Amino acid sequence: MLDKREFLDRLQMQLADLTSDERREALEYYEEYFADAGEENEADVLISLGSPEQVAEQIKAGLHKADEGMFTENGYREKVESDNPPEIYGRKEENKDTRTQDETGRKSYAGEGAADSRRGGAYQNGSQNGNGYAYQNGRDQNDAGSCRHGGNGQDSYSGRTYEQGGCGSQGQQDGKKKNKISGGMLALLIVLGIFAAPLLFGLGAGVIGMIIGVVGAAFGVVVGILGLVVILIVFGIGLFVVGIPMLFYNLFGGLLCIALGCIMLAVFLLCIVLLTAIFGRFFPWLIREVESFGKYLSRKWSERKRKGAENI
Amino acid sequence: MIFNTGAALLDAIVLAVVSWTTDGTYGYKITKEVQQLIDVSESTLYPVLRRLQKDECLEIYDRAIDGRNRRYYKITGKGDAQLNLYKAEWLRYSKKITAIFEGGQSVG
Repeated sequence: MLDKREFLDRLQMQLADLTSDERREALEYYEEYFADAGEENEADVLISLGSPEQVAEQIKAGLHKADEGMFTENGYREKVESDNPPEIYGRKEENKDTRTQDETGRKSYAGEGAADSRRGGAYQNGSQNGNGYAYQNGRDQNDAGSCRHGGNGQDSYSGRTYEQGGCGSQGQQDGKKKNKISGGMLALLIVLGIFAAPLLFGLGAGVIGMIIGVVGAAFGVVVGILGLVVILIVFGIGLFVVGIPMLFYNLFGGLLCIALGCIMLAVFLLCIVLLTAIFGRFFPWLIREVESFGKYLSRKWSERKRKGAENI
Repeated sequence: MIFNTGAALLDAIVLAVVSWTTDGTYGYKITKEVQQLIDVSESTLYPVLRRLQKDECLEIYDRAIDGRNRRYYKITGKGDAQLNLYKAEWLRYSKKITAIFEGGQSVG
């Protein structure tokens, strides 16, 4: 028969693979437990606790469970929903959100109302939304900006549940009406989307045209500069070469030629610097920009198509 | 008890027992009180208490007793909200079960 000291020593050994914090917490707990039970109960406690190995096993299993969180199925479902990253897509997404909220609201109403038509049912709902869910809602709102609408929806729903305690049928009508409105809104959005499609298409064509224009202009400028460069080098060297013998019979003319040649060569060097800048920096930048814009467009387009398919 | 007590129900029971005293209570007392309600072994509750403490449903503080420290557990605001959720769920669940036992006339 082992005693308290031996039990704690063996427990400590069994917990060797835990962090020192966890190990200390557990050992302190059981040390206190023995102390609170009193020496006269030590033997009973030792029997009831079981072997140190079993106790260690339970401690480890409990730590593992802690990672999984602790909310009920309802809580978890909410959490999974909010884990979906909210898309930047504006109106439609928001509308969809309210729709699902309405649906869950209505569903749970149907369940509650039918199952407990007594007042008790309504009270349960109220307290559930008021305490547990409201807390989770608050957190969800922080997580996902687009959830704000949904949160409101649920709040107003919980309000209605309370009233519904008195007369059930009125509550049901309310629920139906709300759903109809959301359906109408959806139809309106789809129609808006259809009308906006040509406009969006035109806009897209315009943007593509603009890109082609910019690229063409850049190309023209480059060709122009290249031509200028060739002219500058040829004429610059030519004038310089012509100017040197000219010095002997026409000093002024020769100097002028040499000076002009030097200026042309200087401008030529300037152009070279400009060209390296254009080829080395501006062009890669332009290509990158066009590329990323194209990617953005195609992503947006496929998103729209997917949305369209979902809505139909 | 012939019905087994799942993790959520055990959490709920421990939260409820701790919430009885506003000043909080300690491990041995919690264990004895829970054992009066359901059949749990002495080693069941430490992991539950530790988990609830990590989830910030319980907070701990130490008090000097007989020349040593005793760790007290106290329910937090979050723990209170969680307990209310459990209570509501339990009420709903037990009502349904009762309705089934009584003939199922009010089960929709």
